Amino acid sequence: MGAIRKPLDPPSREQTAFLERAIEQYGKATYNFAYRLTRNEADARDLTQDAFIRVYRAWRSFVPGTSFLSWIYRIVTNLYRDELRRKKGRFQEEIPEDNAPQEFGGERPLAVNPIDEYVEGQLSEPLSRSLGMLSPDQRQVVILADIEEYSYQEIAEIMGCSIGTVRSRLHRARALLRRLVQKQQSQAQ
Amino acid sequence: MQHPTTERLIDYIHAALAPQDDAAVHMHLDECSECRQEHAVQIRLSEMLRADAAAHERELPPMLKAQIWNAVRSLEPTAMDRVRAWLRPAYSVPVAAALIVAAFVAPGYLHHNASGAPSIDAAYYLQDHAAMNGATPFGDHSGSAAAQFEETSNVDQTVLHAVPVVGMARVSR
Repeated sequence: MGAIRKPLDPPSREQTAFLERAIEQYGKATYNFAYRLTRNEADARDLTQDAFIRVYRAWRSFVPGTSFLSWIYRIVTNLYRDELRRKKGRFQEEIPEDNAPQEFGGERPLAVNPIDEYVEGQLSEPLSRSLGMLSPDQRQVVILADIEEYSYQEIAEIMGCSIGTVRSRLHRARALLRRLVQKQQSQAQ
Repeated sequence: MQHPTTERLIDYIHAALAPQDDAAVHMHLDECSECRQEHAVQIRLSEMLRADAAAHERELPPMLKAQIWNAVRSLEPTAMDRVRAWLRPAYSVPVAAALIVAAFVAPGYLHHNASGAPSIDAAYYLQDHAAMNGATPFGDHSGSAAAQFEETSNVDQTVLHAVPVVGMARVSR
């Protein structure tokens, strides 16, 4: 990293207040979205930090009256895509082809504390692991459609693709999830 | 109505069907237990995903907020920041004022210095005049054209070059 210089202009009060409010209101949601995408705490932290830096830089381009969360999710999506491209070699091993379930062995997300660990184990371990086996695009579309409950149109805008692509990714992802969960449940019995 | 496909049911539970298709699937589910079962499986999958997300929900790490602010404070200015800095009133107002003044002054200045009429070098007329005198034996100036040209050439050429001489040819002849 090069020498750090001070910005030409000190940040305006509005810009600082904008970031402060954004972190306060949407920091947790953004971090959770990043965590669900990356399934890794360190990457989620980096992604969240980079996203809020973008928010700070581009605060004037946010259109008042529109959804801030959609805006920052789009930023996170783009950053995540860039990161995947940058680390292509490393991530390629983890990304299964569409409709091609891989052998189980995905990295288990870190539990915050023993209670979380217990809940993970009791409630949704097979699904959680299966979600981790989807491709990043499939995982993202499932997160946005089923967890965040966005419409196909909104997902298309966030992911920068067509509604048809959202639809087909979601269909494939759910079919794959279903098979993976069933397989894991049958193995557990 | 024939049985909706699984894909159609997925679109149905995500409210992504056109109103008439949505109504048709809705009516079909009322009548068909087989499709109701598939619909229930899809609903259950969505519920499990939400439960999984809730179980894994995390708080924003306390250090992360501080890290974001530290990163923001050490940002380098982008090209856009530099442009924006030049557009600040402290710079932009004097520059705009200078441009406005220039816009008023420049046309008058250009009008005086570039009338648009074709100009001809004054030396040409002097040479032409001398040649005419030399060629007219009974003219007022009986000296040789060459001598007269020499005489007139001693006039400060820079002054002559600067004088617009449009129309002089007719007068001198």
